[in-house]
Amino acid sequence: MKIQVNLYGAFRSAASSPSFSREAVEGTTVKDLMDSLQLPDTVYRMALVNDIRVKEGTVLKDGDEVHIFQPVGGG
Amino acid sequence: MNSEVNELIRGYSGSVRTSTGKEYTGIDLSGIRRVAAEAGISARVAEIAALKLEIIPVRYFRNIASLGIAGQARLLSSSVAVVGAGGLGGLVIELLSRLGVGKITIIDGDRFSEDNLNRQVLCREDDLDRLKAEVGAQRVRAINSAIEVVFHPIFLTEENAVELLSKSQVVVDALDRISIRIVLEKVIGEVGIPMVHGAIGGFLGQVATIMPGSGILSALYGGDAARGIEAVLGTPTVTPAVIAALEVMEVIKFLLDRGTPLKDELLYLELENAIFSRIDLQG
Repeated sequence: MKIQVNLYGAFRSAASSPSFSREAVEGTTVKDLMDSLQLPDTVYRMALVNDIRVKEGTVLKDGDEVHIFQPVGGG
Repeated sequence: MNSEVNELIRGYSGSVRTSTGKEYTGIDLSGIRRVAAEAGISARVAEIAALKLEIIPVRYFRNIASLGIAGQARLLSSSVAVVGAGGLGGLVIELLSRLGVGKITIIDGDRFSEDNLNRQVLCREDDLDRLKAEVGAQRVRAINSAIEVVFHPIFLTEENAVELLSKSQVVVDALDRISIRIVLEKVIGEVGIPMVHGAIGGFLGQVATIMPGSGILSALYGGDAARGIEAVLGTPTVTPAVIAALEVMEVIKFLLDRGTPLKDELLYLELENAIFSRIDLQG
């Protein structure tokens, strides 16, 4: 299956391009994707899949679009 | 009464020439004050009456080409609440005052501390330990005495929010923690007003306009235990100014019903690389 990935902020440099399409095997989770990109495993990362915030255990489907960025909450 | 006010306004108005040679019919600050004193009305009402006569209070002249005379009058008739008078809130309050939003409510129970000096425009060395909400109200009065400002030196809670926000048309989220932002999102559903959300962390920031009942923000943060990257990256000088300006722009768009508000989407800003992204959101 194919997924579209968009990286923001400090994660931008985790791949050769911050926006790319990638092949993934069935059953790939958001966490699998993050790990494959070697993103630091901290609470300071979040993902939207098809415009909805998801938990990292969410299983991706063919055609999904994933945004990965750092949450901000300060003022 | 109206004709008496109008006569006073006409009497104190005159032709104003700008530095670029343009001429318009305007009324200056002392003129507005005299109209207000002689007619027994507030300066805010006097400014609205002047704009209805197409006489421009000089202080707003540079706004008019973009906002329009009717738009400026509408802002003077509008009421906005600002929750948080720190990094974002201080700048939001400053801009709303200069913009001429007629009624401003400031809510913040905190006091200024020395580590606020890097970014909080309301905080001067002499203001350390003072109540942020009170300093904010003083700043509003010092910038624009026509504005009716109310301040509440208390923290917003689920219990007091409806009462604190009920007189405002829109609330600006200038808070500093995710958990209380989620409370604010919940209560705007009860009050029935939109919330302009802004948040910062390092040189990252985000802005969105959240309609009552949408639940977008709690969905985005994924629960009130969520933590922001500011815990790691801090809150440096530049970021609040950019985000606060964008928040006030959202307020203008909502109050004047113009432009493209950031509804159901998040504007995510990476200042270090000058990249602004619009990301669609669902609740």
